[in-house]
Amino acid sequence: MIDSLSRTNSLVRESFAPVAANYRRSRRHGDPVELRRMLGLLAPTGAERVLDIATGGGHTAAALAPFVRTVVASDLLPEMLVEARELFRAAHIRNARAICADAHSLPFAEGAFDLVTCRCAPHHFADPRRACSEVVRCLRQGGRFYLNDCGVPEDPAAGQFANEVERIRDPSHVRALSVAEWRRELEGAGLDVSLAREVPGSYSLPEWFDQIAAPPPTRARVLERLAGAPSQVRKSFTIDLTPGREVFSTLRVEAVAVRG
Amino acid sequence: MALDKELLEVLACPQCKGPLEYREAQDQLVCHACRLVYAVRDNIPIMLIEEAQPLQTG
Repeated sequence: MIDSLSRTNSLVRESFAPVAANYRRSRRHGDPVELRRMLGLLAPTGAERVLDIATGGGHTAAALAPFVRTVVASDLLPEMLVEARELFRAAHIRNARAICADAHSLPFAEGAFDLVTCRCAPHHFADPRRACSEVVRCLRQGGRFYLNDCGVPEDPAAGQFANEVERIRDPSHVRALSVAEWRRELEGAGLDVSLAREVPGSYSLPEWFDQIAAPPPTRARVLERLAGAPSQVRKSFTIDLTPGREVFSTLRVEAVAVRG
Repeated sequence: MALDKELLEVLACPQCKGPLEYREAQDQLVCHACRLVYAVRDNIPIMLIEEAQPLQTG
């Protein structure tokens, strides 16, 4: 597992370090509708100490910061943390700090946080159960975990197809999970799941490719795989390959879980 | 710039989860139990076990 962790972490660095600024500017990661929905679900009181795992361009941390006491924004890549701090500076946020950390081995004391968040990243985790166990350890009793990530349908063939497409585009993609799979991971780590649901998700392909600077052969392989989707799999997605406005609609998983 | 007190209160060694000594002048966080030194670069603590340096004795 250690080898798998370090191999995955190396792939994440290779994929994202050169394009970190794209994630600060990403409309998808900074989606105000999704961030407002998160704030509504978490309803912070202003007293919370928050940890945002795999903060990327810092959008989740920045959305929470005005409504909580402090936010620690962690990421495996210092390059991402530089971008996140730039986002904080632009938004006049003064209560967020950046820490370089691996989600599988968090550098925080037990029970240090009231809220832990993780958006758009767990599909890069080599061992989601271990990452969830670290979340549990870092939460105080009664503390909450908000998870939001690209997901897959419950149908195994559709799930396998979506993960294959994601891995062609980004070799550091490990696996997106379904709602039922996430529920198992969260409960298996000792959390009480208060919400676990599918929410709509959609990739505008040119933007999706541009974000990670996917080379033309990679783009062609993704489009080819989507065009060749078997009919029983295709019904789980919306695939529109009209040149110039290609869309691959899949789903996202959103969950809130509590440390009992 | 020094790391702030509230952050230092929650930071722990990613390996043993034990307390750290902050050496502000050297921009380092030290875990004496694991004998590892974590660098602070551009005010970002690099809390990765594989990037930690062994603590020199003496």
